[in-house]
Amino acid sequence: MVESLRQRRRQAALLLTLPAVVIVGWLVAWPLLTSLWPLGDLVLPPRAVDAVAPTPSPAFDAAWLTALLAQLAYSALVLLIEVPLGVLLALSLPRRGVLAGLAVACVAWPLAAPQSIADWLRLELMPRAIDALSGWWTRLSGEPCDLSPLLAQWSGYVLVDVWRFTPFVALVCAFALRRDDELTVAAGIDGLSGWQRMRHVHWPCMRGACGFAVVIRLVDSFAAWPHAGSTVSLAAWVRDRGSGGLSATTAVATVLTLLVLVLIPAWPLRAPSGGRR
Amino acid sequence: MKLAFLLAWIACTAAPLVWSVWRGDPTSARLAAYCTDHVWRAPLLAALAQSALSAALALVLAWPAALAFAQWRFGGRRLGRRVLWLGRLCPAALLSIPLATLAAQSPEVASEVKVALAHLLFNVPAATWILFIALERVPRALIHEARQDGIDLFGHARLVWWPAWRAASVLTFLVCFAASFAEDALTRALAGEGSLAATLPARTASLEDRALSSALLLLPALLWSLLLGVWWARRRRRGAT
Repeated sequence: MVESLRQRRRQAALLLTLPAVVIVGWLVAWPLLTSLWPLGDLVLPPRAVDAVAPTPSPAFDAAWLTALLAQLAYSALVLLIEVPLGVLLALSLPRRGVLAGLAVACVAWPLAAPQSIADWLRLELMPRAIDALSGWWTRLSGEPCDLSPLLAQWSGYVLVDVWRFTPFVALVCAFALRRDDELTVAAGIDGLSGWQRMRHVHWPCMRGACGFAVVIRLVDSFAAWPHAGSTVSLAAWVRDRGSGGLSATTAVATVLTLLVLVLIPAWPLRAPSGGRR
Repeated sequence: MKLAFLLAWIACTAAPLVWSVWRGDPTSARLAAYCTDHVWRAPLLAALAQSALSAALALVLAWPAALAFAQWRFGGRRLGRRVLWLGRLCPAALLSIPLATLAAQSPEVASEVKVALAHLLFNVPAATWILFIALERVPRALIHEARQDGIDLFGHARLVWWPAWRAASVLTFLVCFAASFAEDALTRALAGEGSLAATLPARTASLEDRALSSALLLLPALLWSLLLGVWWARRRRRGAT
């Protein structure tokens, strides 16, 4: 009787998850199937892009490896900047009251900024800021100074990425830090130094959340490559060989990225608080 | 020291907004012209509508899934969570071309609806995860007591799950809304030239216009962060999750 009841509960639980899982699974699987095999042609009419240009065969040459390594380096650089800044920002946020809400509101708003704002910052605002800095530096030092190479290649993307997504790391860590109020008081009574407090009180509370934020940001920065106009990125590799259409190269890049993504997500499968039963 | 760092960060991140407002010369006549300009207003309203729709749909789909993941162990649980996370981690830009091809087969459906449905790809996993954390923290003893007291399903949902659901739903909606509003690749592929990202920079000509439109575009982001701040302050005051 009890076993039968449990069995029914399990079936009900499975049914409850089905809508979400099926929709997300379909949104991932169906486009991939149409990319990889002509299965989509059974349902969809032939695509114009296939009729116009024959699909180029992918070639995994040295350029591909260079592009992949460059993309990984970009992601690593973004993480190296965003994670420490995010942790510091989380620690500096007020803990209670209206001030806490106000600080979160002031910190979090770039998260909802649309992509066009990011482009505006990168293409229009940052060159002006760099020019202004160069001018000031020249006036101060008396020697001509050109800081515009700072914006070459990835710098602009990295800075805009940091501007937009460091608040994400900060908020996830701050959310985890809400549990350590009593511990912080106890640490104050025990006379722990700042470093000891960080190591024994704050870090254990936000370790899981920080790992989660790292995985999400790593994947997001890696997946952001179609926006990256750099000549050495995966975007350039796919753009050069795939002509931007639904090509075999895109499909191969998709599969490669998915392989990376499937291998990565060990942390996000559980709650960052370690609340798995 | 902490306060100085926080203030410096806020000042640095706010600098683009301040510059855009200053450079955009926001006189009342120009602001009125923008607010009544259909070319500028329509993509913004569409973006707001599709983000709200996607967030609401994600909430509806994520509620039962999060409850099941948080409370029961069942066959396929691990696989289901992996599928959801694959959706969250899969680069949306890679799927944009195939999804746009699929969407082109049904021209009668509004592009806002298509975009909202496509954004479920990353909104449903995120919503499920946030609600999962909230529901997992409901004390087991409370659930057992409710069962022993013979409370029916409706009462169970109202007394046991609803408080946790309600608190987490606001945050879930805000997170999904922001993710949907800020997403670019899928929106641009599905909505084409009608998308917010594609329309605004192309339409505006002078630097003043571009600056003012950028500053106005950040208004929803500011409103969103204000709501998040209110939620944060209320939760902190109550000392709850």
